[in-house]
Amino acid sequence: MENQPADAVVEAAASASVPAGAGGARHAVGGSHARTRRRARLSPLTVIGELLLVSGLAVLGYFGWQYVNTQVVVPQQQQGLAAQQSARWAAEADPETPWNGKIPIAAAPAEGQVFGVLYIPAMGKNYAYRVAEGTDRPTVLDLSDKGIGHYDKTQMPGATGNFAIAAHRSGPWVTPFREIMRLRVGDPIYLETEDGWYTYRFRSQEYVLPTETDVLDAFPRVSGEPGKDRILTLTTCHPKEDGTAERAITYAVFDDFRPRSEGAPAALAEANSNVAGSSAKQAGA
Amino acid sequence: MFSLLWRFFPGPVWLRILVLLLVVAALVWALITYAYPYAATLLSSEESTVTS
Repeated sequence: MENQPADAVVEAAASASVPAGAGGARHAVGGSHARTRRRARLSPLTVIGELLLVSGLAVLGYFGWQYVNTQVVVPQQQQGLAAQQSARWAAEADPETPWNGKIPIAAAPAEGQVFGVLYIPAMGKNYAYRVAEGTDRPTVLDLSDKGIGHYDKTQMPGATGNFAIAAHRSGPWVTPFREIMRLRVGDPIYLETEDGWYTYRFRSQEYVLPTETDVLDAFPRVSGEPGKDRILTLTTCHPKEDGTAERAITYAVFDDFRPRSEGAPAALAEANSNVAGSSAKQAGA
Repeated sequence: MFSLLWRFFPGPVWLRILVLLLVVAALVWALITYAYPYAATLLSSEESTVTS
């Protein structure tokens, strides 16, 4: 389409002087081929438009990356780390000392130190995330190799009282509690520590305001001394993808403990293909 | 800008397409490794803990 007026101008320029179209004519005459003539000067608007296009795609890519990162990359990394952690504990364990029959209370770790692995088969077949001490965001909750943090003022697993942990539900780094609403009453939640596997059973969920810290009480929502119950409390943000105005609180109660010498619970080994070795041990026992 | 890029690389069309695809791949890699994690530190305000 551009060629036709240009050619017309060339013809006009050849026959007579045309002051109005002089610029175009000179340009057309300078380049003898149609190909060279088509190289119009690059308009700044074109450059701006193309840059906007590229940055639009880059922003779109950010959302895609966020999803792939938290749903594929980080879970796989965590499952690998969890398996390594478990193998390290198994190697360190002393097979000579028999279990004394008491539920061990995990020793309080240093701030930021990994002391457990959480398995929730209801939230994904091979679901496994490492649990670290403290709920500081830059050192625990935002780190893709940790992700779940223990409220350091609450009790440790095995102790009577409340073992409360927090993790992200959405966001770009690590979202261990994203599918927390998939839990159904009675679903097992396994916590592996150096000593063995604590099994908790999901009991209930509620939504609270971020300031309602009594969910971390030794018995949630009840002030006073811890009773005989061992509670697991999981806190995360709510709504899932849209802001942090509320907190979703998940409660589970202690059900069983298996020492490391007896291997992982059969139901966990069955659900999670990364939890190995226990089935062989159980067949022997 | 796109036209400048197209003319910047020499060779036949298939080679230019190949080279430009490699450039795009390198850009995407740089975004994922550097730009997106950096942007995440500036953008996110997710909170998951209860505090008084």
